[in-house]
Amino acid sequence: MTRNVLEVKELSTWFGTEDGQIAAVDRVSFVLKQGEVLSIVGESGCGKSVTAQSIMRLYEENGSVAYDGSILYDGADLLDHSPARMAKLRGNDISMIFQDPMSALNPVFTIGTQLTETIRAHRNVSRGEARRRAIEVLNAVGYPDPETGLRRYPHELSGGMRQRVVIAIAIACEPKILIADEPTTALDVTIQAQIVELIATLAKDRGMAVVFISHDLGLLAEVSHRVAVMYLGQIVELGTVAELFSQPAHPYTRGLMASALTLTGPLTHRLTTIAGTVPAITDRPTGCVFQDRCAYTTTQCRSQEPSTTELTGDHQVRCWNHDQLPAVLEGEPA
Amino acid sequence: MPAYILRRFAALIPVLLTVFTAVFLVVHLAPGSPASVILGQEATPQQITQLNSDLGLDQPLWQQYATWIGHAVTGDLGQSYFLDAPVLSTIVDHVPPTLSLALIAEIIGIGVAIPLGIIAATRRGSLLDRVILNGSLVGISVPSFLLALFLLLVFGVWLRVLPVGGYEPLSSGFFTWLSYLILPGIALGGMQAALITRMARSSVLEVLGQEYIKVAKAKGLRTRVVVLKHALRNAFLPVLTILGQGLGSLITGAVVTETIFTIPGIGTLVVNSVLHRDFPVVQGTVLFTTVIFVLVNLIVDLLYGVFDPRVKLPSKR
Amino acid sequence: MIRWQRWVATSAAIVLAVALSGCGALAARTHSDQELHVALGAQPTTLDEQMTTAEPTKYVMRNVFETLVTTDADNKVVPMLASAITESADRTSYRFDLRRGVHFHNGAEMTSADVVASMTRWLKLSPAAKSVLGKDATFVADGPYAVVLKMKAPAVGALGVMATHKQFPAIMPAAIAQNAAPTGVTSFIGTGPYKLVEWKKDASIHLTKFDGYSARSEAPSGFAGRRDALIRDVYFDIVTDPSTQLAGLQTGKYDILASASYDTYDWLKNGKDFTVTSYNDGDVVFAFNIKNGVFDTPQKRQAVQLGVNSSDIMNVAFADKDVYDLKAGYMSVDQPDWYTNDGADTYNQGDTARAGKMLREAGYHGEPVTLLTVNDDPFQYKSAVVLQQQLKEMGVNVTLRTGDWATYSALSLDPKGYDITTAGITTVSDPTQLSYLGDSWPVYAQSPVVADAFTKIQRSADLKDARDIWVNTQKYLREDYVPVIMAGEFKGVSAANKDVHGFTTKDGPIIWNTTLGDH
Repeated sequence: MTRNVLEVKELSTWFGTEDGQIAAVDRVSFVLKQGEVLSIVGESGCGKSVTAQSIMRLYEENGSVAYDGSILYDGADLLDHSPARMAKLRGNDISMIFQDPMSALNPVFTIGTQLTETIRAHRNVSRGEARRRAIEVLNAVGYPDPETGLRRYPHELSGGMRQRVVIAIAIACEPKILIADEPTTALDVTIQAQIVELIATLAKDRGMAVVFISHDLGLLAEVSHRVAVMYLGQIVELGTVAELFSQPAHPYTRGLMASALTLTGPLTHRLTTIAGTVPAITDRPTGCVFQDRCAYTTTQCRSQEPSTTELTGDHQVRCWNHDQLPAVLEGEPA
Repeated sequence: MPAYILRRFAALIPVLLTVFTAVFLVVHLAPGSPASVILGQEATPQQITQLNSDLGLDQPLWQQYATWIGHAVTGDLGQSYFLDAPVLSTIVDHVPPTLSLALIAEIIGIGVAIPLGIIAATRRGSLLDRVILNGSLVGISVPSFLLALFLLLVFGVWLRVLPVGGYEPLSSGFFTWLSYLILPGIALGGMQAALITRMARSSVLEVLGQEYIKVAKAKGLRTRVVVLKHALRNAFLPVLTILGQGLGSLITGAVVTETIFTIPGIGTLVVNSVLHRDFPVVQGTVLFTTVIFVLVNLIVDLLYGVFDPRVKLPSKR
Repeated sequence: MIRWQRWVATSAAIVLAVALSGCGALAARTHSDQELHVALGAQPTTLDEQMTTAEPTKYVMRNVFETLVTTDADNKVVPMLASAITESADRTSYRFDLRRGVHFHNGAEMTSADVVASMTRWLKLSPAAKSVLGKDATFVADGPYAVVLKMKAPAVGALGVMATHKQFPAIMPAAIAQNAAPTGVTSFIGTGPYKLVEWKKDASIHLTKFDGYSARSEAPSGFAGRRDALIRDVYFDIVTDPSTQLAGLQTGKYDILASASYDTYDWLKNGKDFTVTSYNDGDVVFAFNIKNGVFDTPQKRQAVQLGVNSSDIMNVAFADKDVYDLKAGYMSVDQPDWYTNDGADTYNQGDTARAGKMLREAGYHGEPVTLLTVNDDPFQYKSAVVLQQQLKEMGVNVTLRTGDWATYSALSLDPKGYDITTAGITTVSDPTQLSYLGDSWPVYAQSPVVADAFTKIQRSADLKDARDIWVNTQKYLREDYVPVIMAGEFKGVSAANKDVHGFTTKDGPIIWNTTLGDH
């Protein structure tokens, strides 16, 4: 039984807006097991980035952001930590890489500076030693000629190279957990696969657990062990890759699967979409969050939030009617 | 890089010539001559004409122009009609007070304004932020002479803690020199500081919203490091522009402050020499201040290259 | 939060306490009592006193240079560097015996050669001298200790003009006077109780006690008598801003304000910490461009004079009655030899309705009129503004034209530069020196009656005869020719701190015989 490195319990993240406090993440719970890759998938605005940044407590906590629930790591609740203690964890125990590598790197400092400052923030080493480690980690991420690379500025690198640097910075202090927030969305398709593979390899070699956030089903299928599907701030389904792709239970998941294009075989049907759009987070309905776009909504859906049903050991779903859905939904291949 | 600098200096010449010619024409064509100012209101027209002639002012304008330029390129800026001294040494004598004043004003501007701007940005929306914002608005709106008189009254007359105007050179002792410059420095630098505060605040705010700041935090860097190292370095660039412009105008235009605090600087020299129609001094000072302006601009441009690696200065590999 | 609030409150309290305690205290002088700081409101344009009538130059250099003769407190001419004065029988020449053992600041003894050179140069440079003494007058040495002035004709105002306080005949070494450039002398060596040390441009003029000074023995009176440099170093500090002048006086930075701004007079007068003295300065007049201006006939000028309300003008320009006198006479009220108020019934009438009617009858039909003034002199500017209003009420189509000193000078030289101009006329020693009655300005157009009268005045046997001629002339000028409109006479004001003693004024501040200290 692999142990859990991270346990997120009923996490809610509240933002203060003109319309009052809004929960962008609404009572989300999941665990992250050691060495596994957990993907979080969903449309824009479903709260996956917010979840990631909440774990790292990256938001400016000056009154308009509030958290509920708990995030357990290493025997303690991250939400209880002092800012100083959180800073020690960031980059060292839990690291994060972001979507756009160009804006993730400070344009006025060299790659070398940005790498070594991370290393020296967490390890008591000399400048020379930090430099050595920087070169080492650049090698690990496949950056050619790291010696010269240290002196380069971000604007002198290509997108793929920058992302490698960003990953290097993230793993330089050998964190236990890496959160990758849409790391390939801003990259060329050809580079995407490389980066994803790099992440997977690094995770395996270093025993790192990865939270992989994406909206690209095909991509995350390659590397994930488990997948969580989020909609409007809630996890609506969670399971292994196999389970989710072969037996999706939630209407939303099934809609997602159906709308993904497959490259094998001829195109047998028209592109499928899920009717409607994600409502604004301020318009979260009472009852099931998916009710307005679901073709199978019942009265219960509109009044009661679905409870979590365990289908198998790892597979969970939140839907009142998951076992009453037709075998083939509209748009699904027969 | 040296080639680039040389080219910038070469570009100085047409600028100098244009500015100088414009000023020369304006000053010479305006009514009034130095003779009448020297001799006083009750001099006869004959006396005035005679003295103007002795000063060489009855020559045709183009001739006076050519003569002056001819001397200027050899470094001879002529003799002041009033101050009984060569123009060059007169200017050089008047430079230290203005330079000192501009320096103090700029330091006050930077030393006070940038931290205030950073504080306001990092505590955005708080009471402190609003105080700083409103305070800087007042600083921009208050005319500098009003501020000068007010400072003079409060600190010079009522509290008697600082001298009421005047100037002592650095050779009289560092603190003495400083004590004469604090009040005028604040008066002069006040508006600059207010502008810099607002600029710094908005610049820092903009930078703080950048992704790399979030990344810096995600790396586990402490807030102080994030702000002072990562944010400031980027936020500083727009502020640098304002600093450069400000320094130029501080050096050339501190007239009101100099008058109220009786500092014998370039500003006073320029105004007095214009009022007196002391043509050689006016011309010499214009030349001098133009060079200063261009020099300051050049330095700012070079500094940009230093602070922002994305700026590619020509001939830099 | 509470901590910083308390800190602010405590600091504010301390500041307030210090401020209140400081408010009532006497100005604590910031320098020793062997140093005197006099605030000058304008920088001298030159230190060559013989070249200019400007006041800042005069205030400073009267301590450095001396003259053959000077005036006492009653405006009587008395010897200064001369030991005796002898008038010839036909009054065309004067012999000045010189005092012996008088030394220049460079150590050399003053002899007749120096006096001759200095007086000759002065004669060349001073329009007043030329007009009174005649341009053919000569100064000749008679032995090393006597100088003789020879004129073509008698001049009753000769000694008076030689004793003038403005553009006075400063006695300097012969070499300096003879080798002076047209732009002025460059070294300033005199015989006065103070010598020039340094002129720090735009900052101050430093004088120091001349240890080799020979003083007269008589008690001081006006400019005459014994002069002692009782304070070692005198600084004339250039402070152009009136507020800064005041602040400096209050804080003891300046001991004396040479000429305080009129705006501050009331405040200075009522404060208990300062001594305020006033001195004759001059007249405010409005001069017509008789030759080329709109008011080319006496009738038109008489009309304008009828409509002018001088008391309104003087009140606005000077604010406090202490500092001005309303008078009809063209000479100073403090000159009993020359002053007369005859013709007062044409002065300060302010009857704009009748004036307007008279103007139209005289042939004025709304032609544009330019009123010229200078904005560097607040009182001239203010009087012009009030006059403009009064002219408008008389139906005159008037525009105000103003500029700085240099512009004003240039425009006054322009034959078409103005129709009326303001002028501040410093006190003169006799009426023949009144510039607006002379022919030295292209637009003044001297009246032949006046030209004749002036010759007679100078040729008069004595001052009494001269005065009689002048009284008649003034009557003619006020009732008929009207070359100028008299607004009034004004005084300059000096302010000194309470620990300044022996400070007197006469046509400006007198620095010698002044001391500092609590005694």
